[in-house]
Amino acid sequence: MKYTLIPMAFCLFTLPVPALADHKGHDHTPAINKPLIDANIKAQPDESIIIVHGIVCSFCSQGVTKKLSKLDFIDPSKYTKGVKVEISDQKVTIAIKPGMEPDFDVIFESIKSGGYEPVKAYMNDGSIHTPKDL
Amino acid sequence: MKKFILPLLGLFIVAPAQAHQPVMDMAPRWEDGYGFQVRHETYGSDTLMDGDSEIANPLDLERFVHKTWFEGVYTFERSKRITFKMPYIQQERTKNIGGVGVKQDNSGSGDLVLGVPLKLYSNQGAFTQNFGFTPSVRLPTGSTSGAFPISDGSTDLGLSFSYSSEDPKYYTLIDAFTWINTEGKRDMKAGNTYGLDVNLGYHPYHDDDTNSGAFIMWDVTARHNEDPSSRNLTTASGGSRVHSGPLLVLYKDNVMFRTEYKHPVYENTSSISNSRGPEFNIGIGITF
Repeated sequence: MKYTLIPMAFCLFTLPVPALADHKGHDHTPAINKPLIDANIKAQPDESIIIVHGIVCSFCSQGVTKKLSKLDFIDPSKYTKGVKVEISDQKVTIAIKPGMEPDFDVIFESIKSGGYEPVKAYMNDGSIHTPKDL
Repeated sequence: MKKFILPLLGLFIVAPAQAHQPVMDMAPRWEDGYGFQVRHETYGSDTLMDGDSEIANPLDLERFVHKTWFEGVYTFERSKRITFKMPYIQQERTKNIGGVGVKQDNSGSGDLVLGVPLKLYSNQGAFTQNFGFTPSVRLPTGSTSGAFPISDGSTDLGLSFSYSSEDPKYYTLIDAFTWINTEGKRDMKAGNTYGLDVNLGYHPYHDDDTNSGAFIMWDVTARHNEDPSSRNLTTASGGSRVHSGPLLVLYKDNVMFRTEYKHPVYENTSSISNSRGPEFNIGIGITF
């Protein structure tokens, strides 16, 4: 049996994952894999929308909420402790306390320590912030 | 009945994992995250097997095992975690001793399992995947006394190689694992175990506003156990087994509930032995 398990394991490890997900030929490509148009992303006043790669399961990504909610410029009265995660769009919306300036270096670092990759952050004034190491 | 009710009560009283469990595998993924899970596992049968054939059982030989696992995980960073798993075991059987069916039972804390899951993650858009390597050690904390001992008293080594991927709709886990069992007390030695677990999951529902949702999955587990050196042990016979069945995960915020049924779709015992029977799992976990 063990002589059959090892080759089975090898085959399964090398099986392309999309083949498992897309066995009927349907287009299950998540929307985020399609090119993002910056103009279509508009944050509300006192909010920022951050695109985060890999954030596909809310139960698994609660660390992002946990880390961001500790930041002193986050407004915990909105959303869940000031943070809303939308896994279908890879979007994390943060509420910012009126009159405070968000520190995007700290925001990006908090998301990384939560286990995920921040890509871009959009503000209401049209400004776009990216992590320095991208 | 009491043997079922007490563990079930425990599930709901104690704030709540094994690899392949959401609390242990999916979360916590964040630095300084931790989680606990209580899980009740039941398996057993009064079906007697010889190889892959069911045979007559005039002595009504049977074996049933109930394990309540207390499990926890701490995440240093997403690639480095430590886990513990401690079972409380209740087991009963009717054994053929000199042509007579003799009832035996035992209960108590089992062997403590410590693991160090190491994971290499990559995130691409709405897709995340990781390759995992988990060395584990099973310490002989369970009792070796009695006619039906809880533990063989040995220190054992576990190794697991896994691959997991997920997007907002689909989840895949493939885990090849082995337990290398050494000889313990009273010349007891459970045989080595080799196995492969495959989970294919679908995420039909998630609500961003309430942070709640559900996973449904299909699990296939194949195991090969080498013969133990003593028939006193819980694993009374070696052999190859494949179990398969559905599982359901419900979650809200940081709490996760999971239930699973696995049916024995193939068994080939290496000697006359009770079937492992169907497996039932139910658990609740919480992360912080």
